[in-house]
Amino acid sequence: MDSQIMPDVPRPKLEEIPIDPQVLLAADRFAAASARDNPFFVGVEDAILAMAVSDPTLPDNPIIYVNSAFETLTGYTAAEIIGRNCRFLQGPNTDPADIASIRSAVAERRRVTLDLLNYRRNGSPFWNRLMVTPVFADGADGPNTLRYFFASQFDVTIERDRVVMLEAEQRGLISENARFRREMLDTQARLDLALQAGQLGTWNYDPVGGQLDASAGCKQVFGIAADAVFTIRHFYGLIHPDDRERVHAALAVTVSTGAPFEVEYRIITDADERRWIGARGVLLTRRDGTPLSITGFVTDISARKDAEEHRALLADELTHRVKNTLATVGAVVNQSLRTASSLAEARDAISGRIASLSIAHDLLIRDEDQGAAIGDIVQRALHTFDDGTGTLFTIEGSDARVDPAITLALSMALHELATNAVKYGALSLPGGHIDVRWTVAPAPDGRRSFSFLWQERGGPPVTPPTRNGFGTRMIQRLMGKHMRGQAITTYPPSGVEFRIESTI
Amino acid sequence: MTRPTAPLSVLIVEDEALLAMDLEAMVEDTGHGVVAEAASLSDVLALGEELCPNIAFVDIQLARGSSGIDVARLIGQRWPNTVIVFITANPLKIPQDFAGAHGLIAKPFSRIGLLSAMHYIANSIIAPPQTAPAPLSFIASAAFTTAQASHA
Repeated sequence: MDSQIMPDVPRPKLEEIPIDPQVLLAADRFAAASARDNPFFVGVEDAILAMAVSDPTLPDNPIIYVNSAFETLTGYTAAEIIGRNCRFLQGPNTDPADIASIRSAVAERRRVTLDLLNYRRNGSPFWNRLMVTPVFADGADGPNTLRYFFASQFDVTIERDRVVMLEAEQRGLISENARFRREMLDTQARLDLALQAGQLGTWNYDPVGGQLDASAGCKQVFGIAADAVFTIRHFYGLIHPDDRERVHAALAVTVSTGAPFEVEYRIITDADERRWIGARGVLLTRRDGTPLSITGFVTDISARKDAEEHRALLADELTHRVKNTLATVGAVVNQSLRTASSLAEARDAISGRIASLSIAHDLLIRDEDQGAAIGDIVQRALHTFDDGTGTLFTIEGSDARVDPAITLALSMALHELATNAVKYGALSLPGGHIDVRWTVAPAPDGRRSFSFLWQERGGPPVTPPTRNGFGTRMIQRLMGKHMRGQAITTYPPSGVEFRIESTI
Repeated sequence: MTRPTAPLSVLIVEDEALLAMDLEAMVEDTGHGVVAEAASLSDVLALGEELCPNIAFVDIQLARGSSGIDVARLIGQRWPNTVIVFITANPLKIPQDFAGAHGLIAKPFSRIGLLSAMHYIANSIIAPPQTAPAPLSFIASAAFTTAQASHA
């Protein structure tokens, strides 16, 4: 209890309560008997400690003597006090248990000491360190009978306040501590969750003692049961043999220089699964700078590594394709210039052939894996030569697909055939027509037989060319390279015919 | 052994028909001749033993999933005196030892680059040792240098 917040309380008016004259008489007698030359009496009278004597032989055990320190302590005068039971010092907040223990001591005639909350005359509370002890004497009732109670009182309010304050402080500290603990557990739980969400495992390695402490998340990354022991030896055993030395060296560098530990390496788990691990750590040192431990985290970076490898492969493949395409364009330009009779003719041939290459690449990009459908190849290659009336071409065939090399070859071949048809053949006169037909059928050894026919009619009478132009040579070369079979151009008077009979 | 004389015979192993055509035309422009063309390892296997070309231009990525590296090894066994030159858009795929080949020309190449490489290689065969510096378009391997030394 804190006296600071304990209010002063109204006190009983003692003067209104009468005192038995017989008691006053006894008090007088006691005072008269007290010898002024007795050093013990004088000592009591002038003591700093408040003292009182009560007479249990009188009704209600009244006080018959108080010293001046008692008056100073309580604020009451001796005249007010004498003849009254000491309970007038009690008040509303006096603990009934304390009163009961005084009563039982008095009843049992034994010494008692305790701290009791009492009240001064002005109503202010104080902590009274009370000692009550019985005094026995030979008297009318016989030898060694209870004659007096002697009491001393000492104001310990300040001490009690300190204790109360310290107790309050302690309670505060305990609850504060509990709060910190809760918050810490909470933070730890959140951290664990975050680590779990990030699929991060934490570890601590003592390089001197060789002791490895791994979190459950860390063990999971390495494919080890959460309750299993994970030793540094086991750790090195899991690392891919090609990476082991590198990891060991990185740890050694961190231990010797304090540089951050940061390394990516492969492991092979006990279940023979390959994983890429990313690990980071920092060196903790003692005050004198000697290494204490390395602490950090690990995470499974297999997905990122796979993606990186895939990207590198794609970049490689793209570079290769671009270079090949440029080489092809170069070849087209060289060949066109070589065979053209004029610069204007070369220009038209080059732009047409490059456009044709571009069309073939469009088809290939769309159908990277299965290759392009033959129908699409024909449609796209002839698109620029068609007038949109639907009368120039008859296009018929299965929807089979062919591989990228044949896609390119067929596309270029069709471009050359159509270009020649516009210049000299069926498309050079109104009413000319071209049939494009093909079949694809299963052949032995899982291959397919591919027949293709380009047949012109309605053009001017055909005369076989005196020398093979670039287009014709290219067609034969393209076809010869990519198919097993024959690609033949014939020149009957009714119209040019181009046939492929091959297995693909 | 009698030293080869011009015109030299050239084998082209290239699955891109347009590139093969272009290469053939350029080889002919230098006064030499193309004796055979192949698009894959099996095409090369099908060639007659007696072909024995002086030079083989070999692409790395060939038709039907075959590799120019294997083609180079095959040519090296069959025709030990043939000068093998890789022509590739991906020089990084060539092994350290060049699979026994004598050099490489990177794709895409210029007409001038190919012609000067062709002259340089032809001279090294017809009149070794070659004293002129190699053109930038041609990267010689250790085997090329060794062959030069043995001719000297």
